[in-house]
Amino acid sequence: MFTLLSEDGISFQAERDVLERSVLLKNMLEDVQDSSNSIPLPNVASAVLEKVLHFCEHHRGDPLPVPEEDETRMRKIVIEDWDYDFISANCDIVFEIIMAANYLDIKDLLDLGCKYVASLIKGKSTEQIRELFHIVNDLTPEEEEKIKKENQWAEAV
Amino acid sequence: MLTEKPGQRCNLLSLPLEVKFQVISYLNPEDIFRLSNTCHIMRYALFSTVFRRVVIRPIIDNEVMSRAQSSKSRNALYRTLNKDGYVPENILPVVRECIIREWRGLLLKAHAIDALLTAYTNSLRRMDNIITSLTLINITLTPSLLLNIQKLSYVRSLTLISCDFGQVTTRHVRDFLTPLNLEKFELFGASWVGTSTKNAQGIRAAFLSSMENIVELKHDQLWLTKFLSSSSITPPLQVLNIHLGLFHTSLHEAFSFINRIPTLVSVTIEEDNPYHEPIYLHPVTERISLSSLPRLHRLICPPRFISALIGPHTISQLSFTITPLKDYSSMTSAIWPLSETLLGSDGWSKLNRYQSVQVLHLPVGFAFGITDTDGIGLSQLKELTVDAYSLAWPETEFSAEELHSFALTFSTPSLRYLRFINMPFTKPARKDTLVEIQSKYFTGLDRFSFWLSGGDRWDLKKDPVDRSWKLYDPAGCE
Repeated sequence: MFTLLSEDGISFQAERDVLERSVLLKNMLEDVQDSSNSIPLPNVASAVLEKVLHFCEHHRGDPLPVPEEDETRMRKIVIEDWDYDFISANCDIVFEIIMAANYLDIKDLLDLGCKYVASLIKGKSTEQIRELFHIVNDLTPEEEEKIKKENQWAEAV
Repeated sequence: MLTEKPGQRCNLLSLPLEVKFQVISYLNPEDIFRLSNTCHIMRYALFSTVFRRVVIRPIIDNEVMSRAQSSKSRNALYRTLNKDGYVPENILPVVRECIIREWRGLLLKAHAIDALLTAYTNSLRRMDNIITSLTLINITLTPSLLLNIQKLSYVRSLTLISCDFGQVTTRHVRDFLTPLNLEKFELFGASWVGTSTKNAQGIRAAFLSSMENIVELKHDQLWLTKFLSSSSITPPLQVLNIHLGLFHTSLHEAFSFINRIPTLVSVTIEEDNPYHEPIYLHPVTERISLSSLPRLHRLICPPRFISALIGPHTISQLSFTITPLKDYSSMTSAIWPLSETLLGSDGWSKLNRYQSVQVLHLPVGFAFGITDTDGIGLSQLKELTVDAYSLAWPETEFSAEELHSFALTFSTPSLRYLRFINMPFTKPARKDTLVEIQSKYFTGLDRFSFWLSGGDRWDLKKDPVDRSWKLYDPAGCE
């Protein structure tokens, strides 16, 4: 058993094969047999760390995802049932989960978060996307006019 | 959803750039475009993605348009236009692919279109070492257009759709093609009406001599099929899409060409099937030896070609379809019943011919004619489409035995998506029967579709949460 210490000072216990879903932790644990010292994670809040460990526990023992060969092609959003339930139940902290997965280098969790966010964007108008993600339109009317002219040359108009 | 909570510090904009790119890797160009218009951060982050491909269309302002309409000669009009090109300067450095389209059929004289098209494409001369893909759609090729694009030596992919070769000579086309090292080439709907026989021959020879390193070739030109089958060139082709003429004059050539390209991974053969023409089911007597194509994973061909396929294979995607899909309402005289064609084929009525197949599209006659004599099952099948066209299944009740046998043959645990299309039913009872088969035998499905030839369609998707069937929304998760 190993102990992780969240940014807000809460400790979590987990076994090696759960933590090894994270490439960062796997590398840290490589030379450690067991440790009474806790591992501090100054970038991850307890509310997020709890969810991340829940995900890693569910996927312990799964084969690690392999990187995709063709990165230029548009990828399909395919989400397994359990993963969908997990991420949609935590949609209010989905960006925190993505940041933690990115920091801890947990590829399948990072993929899941990105797919979920992409599925929210799909088919929405610019204004709907702004509303959904609380994006403030900071473009001046002049800039909007310039963008409109540039956009004539985009494929997707 | 996504309401802000006290502990929440992150949002879409604060994600690192590489994570933003990972999100957009799941989005289509339209979604990326709309996202790029939301704010400064997104515009900046997505600019090079949005303008990776530019499209040069005849978007002409009124003032230029009236000048073009009243112009007397090409040069008089051209002198008044912007010589530096019309694509904004800040976009140019990020462009990798260029599409020039829809410059035919404008209400302008040919000289005016040429002057405008030349001016609009002048910027391409400065992009000779960054553009890798060039697509021309619905264009009359002119010497000055070809001059603007002739130094694009980094182009690896060239697509010409509905282009008219009547205004250019062999030399123009050869000068344009020679610097290119093409890996991908598409040629559809070329117009040779105004081309002299000598130029047509010369231009075709110029195309042929740029085929040596082609990996992907898609075309509907009979001369190209003939040329390639008799030429000594063996390009390292992986993807081949060919379109055969109505009378299959080049069938022999096409097959002999396919048989000697062992690198092929994907082959699509289409044949003309205009409205109201019968779908000919005469079995094909020529042969494609699948064992000479060890890398072939994807094969799409008309149903009657099943008798042409011989030898062992590892195909994972197999479709017997009549193209184009949307014109399926054609009348069909079942000169040869589908199942008879199947019986005359190289064992394709037995399930073990489909062992490696994951995605399968079959005429209904085949689907009901295949038998599982060895009880082996299809361990890899993920998607099955059963296609009735409009014909092959007269309005009769299928027998309970037939249905039972069909269901047992194809209800494999790996199957996720079952689709019945072009079903000629008018009575709702038939639909109920198929829905019943689905719920009785195909319990592992995530998607189930049922399309009637009359136009009605049901697309159902199993809800990932409560496992109930819901109407499928293609704009959602695909």
